[in-house]
Amino acid sequence: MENPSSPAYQRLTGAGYRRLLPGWAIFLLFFVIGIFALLLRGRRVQLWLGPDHLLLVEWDGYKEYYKRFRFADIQGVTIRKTHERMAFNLLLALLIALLGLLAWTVEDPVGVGIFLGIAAVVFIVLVANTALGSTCQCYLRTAVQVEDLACLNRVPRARAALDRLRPLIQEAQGAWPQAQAAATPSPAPSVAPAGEQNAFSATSG
Amino acid sequence: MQAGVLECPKCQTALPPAGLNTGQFFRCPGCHSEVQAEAFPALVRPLPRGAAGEAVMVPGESACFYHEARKAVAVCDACGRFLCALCDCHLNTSHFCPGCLNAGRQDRRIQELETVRPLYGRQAFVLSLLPLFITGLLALFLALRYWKAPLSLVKPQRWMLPAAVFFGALQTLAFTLLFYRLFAG
Repeated sequence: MENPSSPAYQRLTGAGYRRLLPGWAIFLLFFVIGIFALLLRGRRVQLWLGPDHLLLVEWDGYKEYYKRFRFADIQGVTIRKTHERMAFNLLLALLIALLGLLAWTVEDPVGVGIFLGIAAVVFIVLVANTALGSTCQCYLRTAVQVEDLACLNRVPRARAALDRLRPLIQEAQGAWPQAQAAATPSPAPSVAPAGEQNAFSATSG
Repeated sequence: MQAGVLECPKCQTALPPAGLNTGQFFRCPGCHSEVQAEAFPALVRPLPRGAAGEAVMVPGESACFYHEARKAVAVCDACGRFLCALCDCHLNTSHFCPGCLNAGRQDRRIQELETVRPLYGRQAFVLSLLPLFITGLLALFLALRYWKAPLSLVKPQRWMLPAAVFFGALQTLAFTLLFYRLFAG
């Protein structure tokens, strides 16, 4: 009964938190309760690739929680863009403006240096947040559930993960049923591997 | 959740097939969110129907351990009992009876069914670094008690238990010496 050999897992890109509070609320709480705001981030989430399944691992620091999705059972993956990056950038820009204003009003050169230094750090955070790409929510669907993949919270990351998952899922599930392929019109997929036929590309011209 | 169609995660509107598998974002017809969706063949495949088990037709034919009137079609890989199609629980390539499946999940003997795993190494290591005397003892207890407990499935971090023993012992020794100096010296 016991499986003595653990399957080898490969880490999939991305790490995030299944949050108790939205990101902007944690950011604001940081100014109220300081570093203790990080305790409200929730469970850390990562995705790992197994031999025949995708493993979603959540950590709360002292326990690991597992969810397994067999490649043969995955029905679809949906990525939805969110406005979190824009909101966070707006917040950071306001903070930079405030720090700039303070630096302008203070006459002490040390004070000016401190305010401009903090503003520079916030500016670096703003640039990094912009460079990481649009924020998104990624969902994986099976016949019985829709799972939020909290670790795929940026569009480039989600697309990279999807690019790694796609061939594994297609290999596990095979070709699309012919009836469905003939019934559903759709433009040709730009992302499917060459030679693959599926329900949404078979009738495209 | 509608069968056979992908829905917008925000408004649950069915996404148009023309937008699927294009690798590009498109507007959801319901909430106008930007969505990219990828569908796979399992979306349109019907789920396999569960079998009820065939009746025993010939006297003396192998019957299910749990249902005497049903024909046996498999043997439990754990206990060896004969199982009908209804009692046969598939797990990857193995067959289990419901009792063994439940026992295997509770005893954590079937790894595929394990959903939670305590990280004793991490707990002991964190405790060993907290300088509160009792934490050193607790770290030593946890590390030695769960020395052979299974580690993390994805990041084993084997160094944590020996490190917890080292720092726990060091902390206990340091506090013992401190108390000795304070009260006996």
